[in-house]
Amino acid sequence: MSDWVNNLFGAAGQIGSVYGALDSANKIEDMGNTMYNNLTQLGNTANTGSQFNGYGVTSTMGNSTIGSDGSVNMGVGVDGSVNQNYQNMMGTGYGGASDGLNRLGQQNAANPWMIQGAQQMAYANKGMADQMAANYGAANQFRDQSMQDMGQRTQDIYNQAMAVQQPGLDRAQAAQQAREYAMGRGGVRGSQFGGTAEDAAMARARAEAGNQASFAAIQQAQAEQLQQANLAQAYGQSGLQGAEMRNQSANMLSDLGVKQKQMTDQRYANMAQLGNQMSQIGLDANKLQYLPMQMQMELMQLAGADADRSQTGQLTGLGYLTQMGLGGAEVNVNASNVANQARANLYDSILDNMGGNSNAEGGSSGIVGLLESILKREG
Amino acid sequence: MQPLQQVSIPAPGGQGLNTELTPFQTQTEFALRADNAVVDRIGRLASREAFADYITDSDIQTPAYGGYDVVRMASVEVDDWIPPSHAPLTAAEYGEAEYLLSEWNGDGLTRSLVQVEKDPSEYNAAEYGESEYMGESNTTRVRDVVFGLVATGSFESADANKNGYGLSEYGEGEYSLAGAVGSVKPTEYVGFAIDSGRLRQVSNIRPSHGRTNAQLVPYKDSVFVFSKGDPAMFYYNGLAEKVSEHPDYSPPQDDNGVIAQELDGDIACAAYGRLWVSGVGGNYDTVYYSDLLVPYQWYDGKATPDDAQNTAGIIDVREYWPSGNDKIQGIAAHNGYLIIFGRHSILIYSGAQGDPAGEGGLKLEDAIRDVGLVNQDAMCNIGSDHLFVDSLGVRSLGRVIQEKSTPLGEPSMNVSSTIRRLIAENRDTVRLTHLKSKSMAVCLFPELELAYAFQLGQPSMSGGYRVTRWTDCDWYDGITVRTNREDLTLLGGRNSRGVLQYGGYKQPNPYTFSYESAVLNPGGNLMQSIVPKTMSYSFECDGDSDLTALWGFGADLRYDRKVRHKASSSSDNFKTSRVSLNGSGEMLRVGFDAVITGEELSMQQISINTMMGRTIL
Repeated sequence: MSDWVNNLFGAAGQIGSVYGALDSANKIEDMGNTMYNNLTQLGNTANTGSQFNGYGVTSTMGNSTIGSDGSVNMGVGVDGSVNQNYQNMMGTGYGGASDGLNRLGQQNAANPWMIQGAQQMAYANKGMADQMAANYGAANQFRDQSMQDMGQRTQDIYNQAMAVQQPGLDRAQAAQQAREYAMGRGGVRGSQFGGTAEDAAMARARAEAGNQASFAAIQQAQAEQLQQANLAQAYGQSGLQGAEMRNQSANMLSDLGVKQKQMTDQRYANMAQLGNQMSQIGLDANKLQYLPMQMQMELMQLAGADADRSQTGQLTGLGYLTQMGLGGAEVNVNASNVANQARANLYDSILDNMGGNSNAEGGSSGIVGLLESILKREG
Repeated sequence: MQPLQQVSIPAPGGQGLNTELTPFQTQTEFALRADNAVVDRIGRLASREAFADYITDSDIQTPAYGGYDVVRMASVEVDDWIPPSHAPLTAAEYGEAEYLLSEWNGDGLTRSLVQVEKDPSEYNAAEYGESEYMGESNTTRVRDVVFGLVATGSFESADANKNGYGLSEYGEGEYSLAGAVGSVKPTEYVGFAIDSGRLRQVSNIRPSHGRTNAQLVPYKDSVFVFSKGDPAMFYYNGLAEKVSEHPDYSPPQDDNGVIAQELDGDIACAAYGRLWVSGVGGNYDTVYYSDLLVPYQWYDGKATPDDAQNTAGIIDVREYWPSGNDKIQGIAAHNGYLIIFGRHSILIYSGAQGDPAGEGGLKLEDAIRDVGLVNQDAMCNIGSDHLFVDSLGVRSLGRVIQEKSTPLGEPSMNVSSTIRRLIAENRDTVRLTHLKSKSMAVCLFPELELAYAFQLGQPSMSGGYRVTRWTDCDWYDGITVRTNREDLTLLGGRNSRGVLQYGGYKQPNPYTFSYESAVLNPGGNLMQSIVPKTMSYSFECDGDSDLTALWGFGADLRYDRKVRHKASSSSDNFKTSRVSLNGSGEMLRVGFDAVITGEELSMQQISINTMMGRTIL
């Protein structure tokens, strides 16, 4: 009997609480929608109010404007007349300088003393070259002769010497053979000597004569070779001196050329310097033609600061407006929240009382308990 | 009638044969005939020694119905040991040291030069070599000492009938070998060595020539064989090969190449430590001589000789022939000279010792013309002289040298007319041999089987050597072999007789010792006839002699009568036998024929009892 009562009341309490909660939620949702609409309106107001409005600057050089979308219209351009004036001035100056330098170069090229000196040096150089070539030729010839196959020359000398000796040697050999025959030793040949010992002695004598002639021929050939080598050396030395003189001449010519080149280089350096100066002037002139634009831009910078200040005030007012709107909405939410909280607490306590709680002895409190106890008594 | 006169001929023919006497000369010292005789040691005419059989056994391969002649012999000196040789070792199966060549003599007998005799020891040399049993066996190890050449061929039958039918057609049964008589017709020459009593064939040596145009030259311990156109060969104790096959052989050469690959000459000599050869390549104007004691090294004329010590060389003698041209016939050495014989010239060189081409070397001492050598075998050295056969006879080189261009030395002057004819008819075959131990030089005419024996030593009273004539000389060559026991005079037998020994007095066929005197004229008057009555022969003979007395008047000894000997009453071998004579004439000549059958016979004296007849008016 008590469970049934208990449940019955419990369900009734719960139904009552749900109903109260749904009602509070509906009220809060409505208030939220209202606040959303208010805040959207507030945002639109802030957006509209904070937009850039643009500004303009007007000077003697021109009228410059900055649009609300940030676009800039300088209203002032490059002053080409300035550049043209400078170009005219540079052309005149460069032409004059070039003419002067060219005249200087012409004067250098046409220097008669230098030309004559160079010619004389060329003549002298050629003569020295010819002499040097001749000396070198002679030196080479003697060198070649000194480097000839000494064996051939030695052989030639030897042949000449032996040709002179040959009749004597032949006579000596014939006499020896006659002696050999007279001694009864003709026709004898032994392994030790090829013939007889006398034949060998004659052969040795001939060989010695040949050896002497050979050594003499070698010495003569060596002397000739030395002589030719000395001549080659002398001619080579002369050729070397010619080469040195020619080298000196070439050095002088080279110095002359170097000096001429230095002058030419100087001329070109002057020309380059003049060009640089003209270029600098042109550059300066180029810079000057942008001066009006620079001045206009500086004015625009000044105007920009003013525009910034105006924009700042606009944005500050919008800040205040949105802050106030947001604060009101927050206050409203907080008040609704408190009210709902109070109602919730109320429902909660009511329900707790209708249902009661079970104690240790199994009994219930509250309305349930009450009813239980009633029932128990009745029961 | 006048009384008997006695004519005595002491030592008849004691001066030898003299064919140059006229029949009217009464020099009884000379003989007009002295066949198979010699002059003995006391100047008597005596029978020569026999050509006795000595070595008849052989393994010489001869043709059927043929035989062999020993045509040449040479010997090396006998040593008790085998000295180091220049020759390579023999390729014998058992080496020289352990087994000798004599080991297979079959009967275990000691090897001997020419004889077979029992060895005194238990172990003889045949079985065990000297190296093992030296001193105990008391054996003498002997090398092959004698080397020679034999000519083999068929017998030339002397029977005309047999010749007509020929041996080949009618076989041995019908015409036996004994019927094939005559001389061997040489078809081949082959070497041999005397080995233990037989002739051992040396088949490796087969020269093209033997009887002529060949020479055997003993040199060092080998025998060199030179034959015309054949490579020189040598024989050393069983080893026989070409000189050019010796490992150290160096042919004559110069920078133009080899002059002669082979020493193929046939004129050769060994002297002064070298071999001297001519006829190389058919050139008989040149003599090649070997290196000193190195018979394999010859002339090396290259600029850089293979052997710097080589002293071999060449002698070209063309420019020294005194008569413009000649041909080398022989080379000899005598008394320090080198003698080069031409056909009609003699070149005498000194300084052949040492290096002939060196200073003080070979030098022509003399060139003699119109005296020469008939062939290379017709000369011999007798120690004190060198004899050679010229067309004029046997000449003495010593005397030629002494007398130079007027050579009068003529040992054969006692038989000059006779021997000159023989020489002219037998120029290529005549030989002159020195029988050293007999002190004789024998000039042999092999084709005639005839020889003249010159007694060396004291010459005859005419100045020529005492000479006798030998018949039945069935031999070609004679050498003297000096052994430890004796000096053997060996002869190269013909008709398969083998090697003969000149010794004793017994030949297979008895020979006749003959004598004929010159004219005897006891009255000294050729106008008075002589009537010989008896003749007594006093002779010395060990046994019975078969003596026949000969006498006659003039050129022919037409009377002959057997001499009857008295019965010998004593052991005395000195005998006198008498024979009665008959006939008469003006020029009495006497003589005898003594058939020698084993004993020597020396004629001491012939005595004649004669009566002088009437004077021819």
